Amino acid sequence: MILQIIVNGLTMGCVYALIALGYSMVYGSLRFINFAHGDVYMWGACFGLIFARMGNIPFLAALILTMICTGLLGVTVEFLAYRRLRNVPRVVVTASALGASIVLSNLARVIVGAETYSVPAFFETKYFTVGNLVLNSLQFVLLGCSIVLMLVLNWFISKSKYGKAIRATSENQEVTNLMGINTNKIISVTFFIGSALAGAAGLLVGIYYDAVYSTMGYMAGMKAFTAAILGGIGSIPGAMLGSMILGQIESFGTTYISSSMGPAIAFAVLIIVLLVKPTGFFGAGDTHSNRV
Amino acid sequence: MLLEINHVTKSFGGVVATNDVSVSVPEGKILSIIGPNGAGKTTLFNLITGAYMRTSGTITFNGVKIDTMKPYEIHALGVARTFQNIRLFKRMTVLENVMTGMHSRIKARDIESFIPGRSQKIEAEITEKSMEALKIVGLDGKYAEYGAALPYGQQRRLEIARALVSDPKLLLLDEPAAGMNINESAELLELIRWINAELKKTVIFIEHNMKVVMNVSDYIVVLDHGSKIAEGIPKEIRNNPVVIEAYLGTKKEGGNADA
Repeated sequence: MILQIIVNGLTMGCVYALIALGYSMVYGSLRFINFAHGDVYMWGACFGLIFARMGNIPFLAALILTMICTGLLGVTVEFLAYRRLRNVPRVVVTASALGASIVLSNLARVIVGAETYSVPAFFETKYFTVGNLVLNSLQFVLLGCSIVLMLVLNWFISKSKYGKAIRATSENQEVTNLMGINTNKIISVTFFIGSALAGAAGLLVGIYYDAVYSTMGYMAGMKAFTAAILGGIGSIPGAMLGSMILGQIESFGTTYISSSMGPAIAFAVLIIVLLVKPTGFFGAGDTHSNRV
Repeated sequence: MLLEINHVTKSFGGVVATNDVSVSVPEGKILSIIGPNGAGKTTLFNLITGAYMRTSGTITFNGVKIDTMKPYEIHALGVARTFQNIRLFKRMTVLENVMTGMHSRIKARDIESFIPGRSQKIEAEITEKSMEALKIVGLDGKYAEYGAALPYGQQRRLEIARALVSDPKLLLLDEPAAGMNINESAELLELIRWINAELKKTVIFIEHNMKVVMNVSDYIVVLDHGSKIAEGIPKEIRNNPVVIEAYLGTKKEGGNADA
């Protein structure tokens, strides 16, 4: 029983992590909460639905295509809604993000539809029992994809040239620019990666719950945003850890306290943690500086 | 002329930080900019590197008009700098700090850095160049440490390595000896000379220590309240009554004017 709860929590934790990474990375470089991010996740589910309906696209191809589509969507949102707002108070950019969020979810309602749609299966679902533990192939796919994506991200951020540029940009944009790096381009890369990961999460969740709807980005986005804060916003390992913890709290809360109280319990725990440690687990406070 | 600053003015609202300044820097020389605090020395660096946009005037580097360019575009032409208040990336190692200076110098397609195998080759090339730059400033043994954990003098040297790694034509050093003891600043002096003589870099530096300035400069520009009040070879500056009054106070000989 306990093991089953942990595995369920882990599954949701992985989904939150894929979304939370985007919140955290964008906050790292631009210091605002991109509220349109949850809707990019929803669009990931919509693209997944569109590819699934085509019927002849293998799962892996659909995943990669979805990630590219949502990645480009994120880059477009940044270009249209945020780029010209670099030197204004952050609250203005946040308002722009809320606007972008509404535009994206409205667009989905017009293009995809206002109902909840079932996703045609990419593959047959098999069930496995290990002792008392019941797992299905969807869970394996979700866990496997999330873990691989997070490992790749970790490699990319710590080892690659662009990963270093992303870290430099998140510490000091002005200085990074003076070191010869076009920070606008780096911010586009950041948005592409964050949005591609959220898109992957959307597709995986759409398949997992067999449900896609235009408002699904709201709650998932809120929870992932919370997880990012819990881990210490701006920190990549923080976003991962915060999401795993949130997934477990929600899973245990849903089982032992009330199935309809899952989110409430998760957010209550968040408030308690933040009262004790306001910067989250890995947050060092705001050391950001944009001055020369 | 490698760098030509022509009647450049920069005002912030009503405050004129740089007032109609013209400076010509020939290739291969060491030029120093001196002046009391608030004279507009760092502002001039910010104007050259594109951190600030001039209000009027023109700046030409190597025949290219750079006064409306973005910082990364100016860097690409071969202008690199250090900062008066050290601006290292605190959450990066010594080596990674230097590697950021090489980012734009690797001629590879962007997509290649996303492919694991190709990325490693690019990384190896950047690492090699960065280690060379660290060796020049004597920090190659500390590559794995965090930049912010180094002693102050070494942080300044690390900033020089980060600027040097991009192989710039012009190196701008903003108070490179600030906070250093006598030994450290003597070593730094040697380093600047060596960079100029062996690596053939043109150097402009801002400095308060008159001993360093007089020893190392081919040419000196004196700023006060945003305006250029004098320029010339060290001997001329040392004996220029306007400079002595504005900057050196009552001292006749060029002692330490830091006080």
